[in-house]
Amino acid sequence: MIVAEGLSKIFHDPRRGGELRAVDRVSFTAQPGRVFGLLGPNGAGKTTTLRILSTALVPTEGRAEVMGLDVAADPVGVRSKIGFLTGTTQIYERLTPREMIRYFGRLYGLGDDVVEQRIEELFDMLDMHSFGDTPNGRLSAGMKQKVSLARTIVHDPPVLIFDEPTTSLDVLVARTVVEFIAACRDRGRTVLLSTHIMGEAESLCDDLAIIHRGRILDQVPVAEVKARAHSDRIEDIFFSLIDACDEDASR
Amino acid sequence: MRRRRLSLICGKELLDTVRDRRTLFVAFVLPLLLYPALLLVMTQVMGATRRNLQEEPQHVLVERVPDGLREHLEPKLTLFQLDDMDGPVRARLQELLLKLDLKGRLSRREQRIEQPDPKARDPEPDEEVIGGIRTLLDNHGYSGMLVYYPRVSHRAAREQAALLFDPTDERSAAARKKVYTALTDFANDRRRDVIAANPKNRGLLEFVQRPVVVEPVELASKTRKGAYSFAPILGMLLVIMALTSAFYPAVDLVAGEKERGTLETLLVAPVSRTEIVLGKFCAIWTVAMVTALLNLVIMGLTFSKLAGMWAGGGQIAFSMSASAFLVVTASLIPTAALFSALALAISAFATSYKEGQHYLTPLFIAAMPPMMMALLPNVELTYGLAFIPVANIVLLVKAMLLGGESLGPALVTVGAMMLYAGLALAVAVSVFKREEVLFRTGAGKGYDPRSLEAARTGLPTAGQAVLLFFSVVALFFFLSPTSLPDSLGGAVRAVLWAQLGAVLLPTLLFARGRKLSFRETFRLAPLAPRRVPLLMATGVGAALLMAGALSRFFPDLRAENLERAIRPLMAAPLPLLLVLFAVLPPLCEELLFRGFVLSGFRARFGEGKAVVLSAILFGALHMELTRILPTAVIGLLLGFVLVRTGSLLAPILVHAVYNGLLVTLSAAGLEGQIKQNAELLMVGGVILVGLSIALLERARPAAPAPGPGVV
Repeated sequence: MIVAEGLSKIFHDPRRGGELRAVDRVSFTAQPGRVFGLLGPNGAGKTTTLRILSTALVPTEGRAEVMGLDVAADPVGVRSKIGFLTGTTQIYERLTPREMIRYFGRLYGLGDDVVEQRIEELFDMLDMHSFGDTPNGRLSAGMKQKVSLARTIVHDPPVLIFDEPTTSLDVLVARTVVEFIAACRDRGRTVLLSTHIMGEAESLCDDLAIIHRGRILDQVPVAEVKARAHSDRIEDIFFSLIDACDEDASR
Repeated sequence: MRRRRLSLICGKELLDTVRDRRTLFVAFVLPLLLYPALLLVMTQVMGATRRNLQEEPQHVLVERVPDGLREHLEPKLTLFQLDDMDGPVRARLQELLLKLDLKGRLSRREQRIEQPDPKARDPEPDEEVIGGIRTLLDNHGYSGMLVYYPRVSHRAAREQAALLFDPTDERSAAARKKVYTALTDFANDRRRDVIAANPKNRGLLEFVQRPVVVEPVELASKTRKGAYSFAPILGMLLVIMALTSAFYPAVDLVAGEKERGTLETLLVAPVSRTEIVLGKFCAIWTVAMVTALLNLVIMGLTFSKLAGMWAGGGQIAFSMSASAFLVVTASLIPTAALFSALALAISAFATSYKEGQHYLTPLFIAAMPPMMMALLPNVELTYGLAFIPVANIVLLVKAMLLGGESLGPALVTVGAMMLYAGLALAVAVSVFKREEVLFRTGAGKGYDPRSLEAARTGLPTAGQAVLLFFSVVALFFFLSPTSLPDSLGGAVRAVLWAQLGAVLLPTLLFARGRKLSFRETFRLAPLAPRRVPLLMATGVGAALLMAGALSRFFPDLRAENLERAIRPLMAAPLPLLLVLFAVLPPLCEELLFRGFVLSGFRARFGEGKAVVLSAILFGALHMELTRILPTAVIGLLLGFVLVRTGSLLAPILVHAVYNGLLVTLSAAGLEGQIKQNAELLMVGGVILVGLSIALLERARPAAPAPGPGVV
């Protein structure tokens, strides 16, 4: 479970002589067994929001809890509850998948026996046995993505955060990731997902928040929309909200 | 066709490289700016130590020196009689000298002079004996020893002298040179006197050719001489090895990881930033030590081979005792620690491996002055120098190879280096905790139109201010005449080139090229007439204070500087002097320092810090170590005056009155009176400055400058 209350993040940039409000009073709740989606264009504040929740950044205002732990007060505790995957969390090219997963398993405090057992489970689950001892640098994009997925859930976290997980992946690899996310949800995990791809948002998310210029413009009940007629698709809702917001800003 | 494509690609690549401002800055601008500055500092330090050795009267122990020789020795050296030494010490020294067999050596030398035989060579003196003499002389503060053997039999007989010195000690080598000169002069005197007494003596060829035979005895073994020649190089290479060995892994493990995207993976794991930094530090430190040690071993092997090849059976040998190797290895530990921590902190700022590599050059340049300092002759590891990083390590290696007794300073060196490493590590941790540094690629990436507006306020940035300052330093260096001008015209030209060419022109061109607002940058605002008397009083007070202080604390400096700068201008009429020193420099220098530089720093650091920083640069431009502080103090005052009045005219006026009065005082030849009343002048100056700036109330802020940050 993730609770965000009035989160704001302001970046100071003295060289450009100003400040940038990247996230502006964002509040939402993500429930276990559901996928909560943040849908927005590039630069909307999605990544910054997720970085705050993963404790990489400290919020300027507001507070957030992950599994009841405050992100500002207990960052290390929060990180141990989270599996975090983004396009920018890469894997060590000079290690093999096995070494990589072992390293992170130990960082998350798993005992040596538990780690080895977990590696076998993950390799079975993601079908990684054939390349488990090949250096990561020599793997294909799909294999690398599997290593990343295994790394994300090596400690079997109750909360999973995905930041644009399918960006720059080819369709086959992207499908692996989407199926993986769905499987996580089905196992009762809390899943937070940011994306700018409408289809992904529509098919994967149970709850959806549309974010633009750092603000959540609206929260959309996906199931309700899906039940309605074709005319009122997520895409239409999205663009009408964004346009209204931009008009407001330019005025 | 192909040629066209080739030139197209070449052109694009050039454009790409030039657009990479960091490459450009590090590759071209930095060396151009820093080397002149570095050279100036170095030559001054070096000149000072050289002169010291020349002027310092080294202590030399003498025996049986005739009065004629004494006359030649005494002006440059302090002589001590062997007979005046404490009984037991003298007995020990005489015993060692006996073992050295000076008489035998001298007669063998005479034989060789009579019958030259290239193969004949005196046996190497026993290492224990010469080591014992060296230690004994050194412990009692003697830089060498001269034993003279007069002939009483008849006047025109050849006499003998044995000269004992330590070629591995600069003071001793300097003393040796002086003794040699004195001996030569004395021998010439003898020849002249003997021939004058009886012209027939001209026929005594043996005597005429060589009235005095000198046997130099080097109080250093081959090994010691080898260590002496190689120690500085070894120490320097050790530092360079440790630096590069630490730098590349650091850049790879921090900037490289950022670039490869694996740092963020680590950041989302439940480890603290401090743990990450310390873990990475330990890895870098280990790699740096192992790499540097390997280099050291290979280097040592190469040296011993090389020394053998050069010497051809001869003068020096290089071998490293096990204990010396241990000491060098041990000193590698703190050196590598310091550089690992520094490299870690620096590379955290870089966003890519390539950018990280660019930071190596500045680090190298920063390490160079202390390294050079340690290579200067006559510099030894002391408790004070043990606190200067890099210099202390080079000196430690030198001391250890030469077997000096410096355990105390050695321990302080290691302690100081570890302390600095700890500080650098603390900086690295704090850098790692700053999200804007860690996520530099991420934060601020979003395009923000407001930032462009801020850039258009027309004020220079701090970076531009620093760049301009260093350009001025470089121009000062390249435009100054290579020798001091000796004519009035030459002196006038030198001042014009410096002020107009090196200071004024680049300042105005830079401001214009960057399309800065002249009014805001140079604080072009009117000055209320009622402030003028107060400001003039400030200038007078500052001049009195400085005249008194300089004459009280740096009497030599003052005389020397003034003489050098003004001597060719002494003939000039006072009005010309005033234009050259009281009008031009205030105008040009104020536009640069209180104008461009201060405005650049103000936007970044705030007014107070900007005044201090610009004052420090103002002092640094006057490039003489002892002048930096007094000039910086005046810079503080001028900055304060600017802030109080909001107009550049104010510091120009104060500066003009200040320079004008100082020039007038020295042109009037009042040195003597100033010296007598130095304290009075200083007190009066302080009171005058204090009163006048206290009365200088803050100007009502006119339209506040729309500085960046005020959106």
